[in-house]
Amino acid sequence: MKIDMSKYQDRESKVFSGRNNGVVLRKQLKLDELDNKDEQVEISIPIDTFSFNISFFLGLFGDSVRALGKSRFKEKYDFKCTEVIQQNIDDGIERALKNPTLIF
Amino acid sequence: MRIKSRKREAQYILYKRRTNKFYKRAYENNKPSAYDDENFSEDEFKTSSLMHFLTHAGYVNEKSSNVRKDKAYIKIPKVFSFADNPDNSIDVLRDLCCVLNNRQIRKIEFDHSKCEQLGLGASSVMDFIVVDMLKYRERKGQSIPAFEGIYPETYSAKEMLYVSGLPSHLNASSNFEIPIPTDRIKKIEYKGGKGYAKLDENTSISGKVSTKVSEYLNECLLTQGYEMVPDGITLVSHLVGEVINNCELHSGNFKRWSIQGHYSTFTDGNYGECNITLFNFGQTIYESIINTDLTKEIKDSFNNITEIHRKAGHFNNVWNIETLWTLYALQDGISRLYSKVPVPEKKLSPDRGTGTIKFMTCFKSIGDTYDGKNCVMSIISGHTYIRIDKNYDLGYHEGTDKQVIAFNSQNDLALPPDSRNVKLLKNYFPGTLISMKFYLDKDYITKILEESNNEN
Repeated sequence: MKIDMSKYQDRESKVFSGRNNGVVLRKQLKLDELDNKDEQVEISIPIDTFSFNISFFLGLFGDSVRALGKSRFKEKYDFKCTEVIQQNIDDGIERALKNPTLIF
Repeated sequence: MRIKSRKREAQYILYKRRTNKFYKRAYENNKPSAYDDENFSEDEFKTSSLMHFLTHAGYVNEKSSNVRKDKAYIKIPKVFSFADNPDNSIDVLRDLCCVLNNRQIRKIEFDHSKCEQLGLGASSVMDFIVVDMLKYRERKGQSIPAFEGIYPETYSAKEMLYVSGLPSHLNASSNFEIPIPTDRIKKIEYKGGKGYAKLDENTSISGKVSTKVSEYLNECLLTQGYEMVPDGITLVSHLVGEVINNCELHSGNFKRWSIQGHYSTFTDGNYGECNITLFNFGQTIYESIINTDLTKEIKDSFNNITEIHRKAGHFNNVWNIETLWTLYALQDGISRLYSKVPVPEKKLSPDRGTGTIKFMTCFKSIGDTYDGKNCVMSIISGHTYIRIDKNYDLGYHEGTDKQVIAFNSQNDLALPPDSRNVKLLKNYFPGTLISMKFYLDKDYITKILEESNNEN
């Protein structure tokens, strides 16, 4: 299965931003169901994208990362993107799995 | 002799005033016009009216002292800047709100003649309030007062006002002696929230605005012969997006925000000075915390840090719970929506809290000049003022991977901050405002890059 992120981008925007936007898209793409299916998903992110913000990633994929774990998530969701955006995604995965501790 | 020279002086002042002014005529608005969106209902408009919000916030409960008959005089102080003169600058806004709320006033004069430092944040907020009032009166079919103003004497303040200030926002006519080279100036402006789009819960223009701001900053950098590498663009667009999302997420039911930038290379040196301001009206940071049904973990965290300060006797007339909670909420990993276990329907999650201060400090590394000018940033929210300058920086909280900035020499949030950098204001700002002034200096950036290469 292929997901083309350019379809979900504002015309003048090169940034995927906003946790709520990610959550809404997650429902639209029915990722909760997709997480439980065996098929691999290819996600293509436009080459001129400036940033795939952590908050957007967490809204869209946070639950998937926590449900599948890092390795299974990476096996299932194959991101076609620039190196810089891949780093954003890797940061998002780490953030989703981070053991939450507060300063005080 | 004395009488003659006095007369000549008075004539000179009158001449200067007449040639250093801007003005916009009044008009009777007999027909209510559509607001930004024809589908905007009356109820939606009323609840999104800024004047209603400011009245509710206690901004319109006094009479302005600078009213004579049907004309009001808004005196802009020598330093009209939230970063450098927050309380007095807020006083001007309160006076303005009283004046705008008074429909007996037919003419309003903005006197910038004594202003030597015009902060983009203060100017931007003032204009936002004026323009919103105009739109509200147009909507209601009410009369619109005449506006006039006197320009400042200093060039930098005059340039800021002319290019990015009230004359520009009002499309007012201006006449003054010294032309402003607008080809050496870059500006940007976006607004969001209720009244600027048919907003539903899921609409956000943060992606578009982040893109435009990143492109804008890159254009500014190009004037110094540099441009951002992809990592840099990603960092800036990421951080701008996060800050805007925070505005939308935490400001409560009344969401109204604005971002404005003004960059000029017509400065004393060869460098450019960049001013960026981002503000929202709505809940302050402190109000958003106390108005939220916090999870036990985050409530305990705020209470823990409060008890540490209370027991140590740290609280005083410039450092209290509001300033503490505001400072703490801006740190990495701290959010009123924090929860150890995700609760999607309440937007709660363990991965909240992306750190507004991180955004601002990323400009510190390149934002100074070779001849010693330093970048300055500030946050004002409610009664809290936070100033980020060269004196304090982010550092890791002991034993954690969290970066914090405590504004004291030990960088310890358990100790009170330097009152020059974090303090309780006498006045109240009904929302949150971030203002940044940094420089783009080719010589300084070259030096930083060379030092960085040498270290590697």
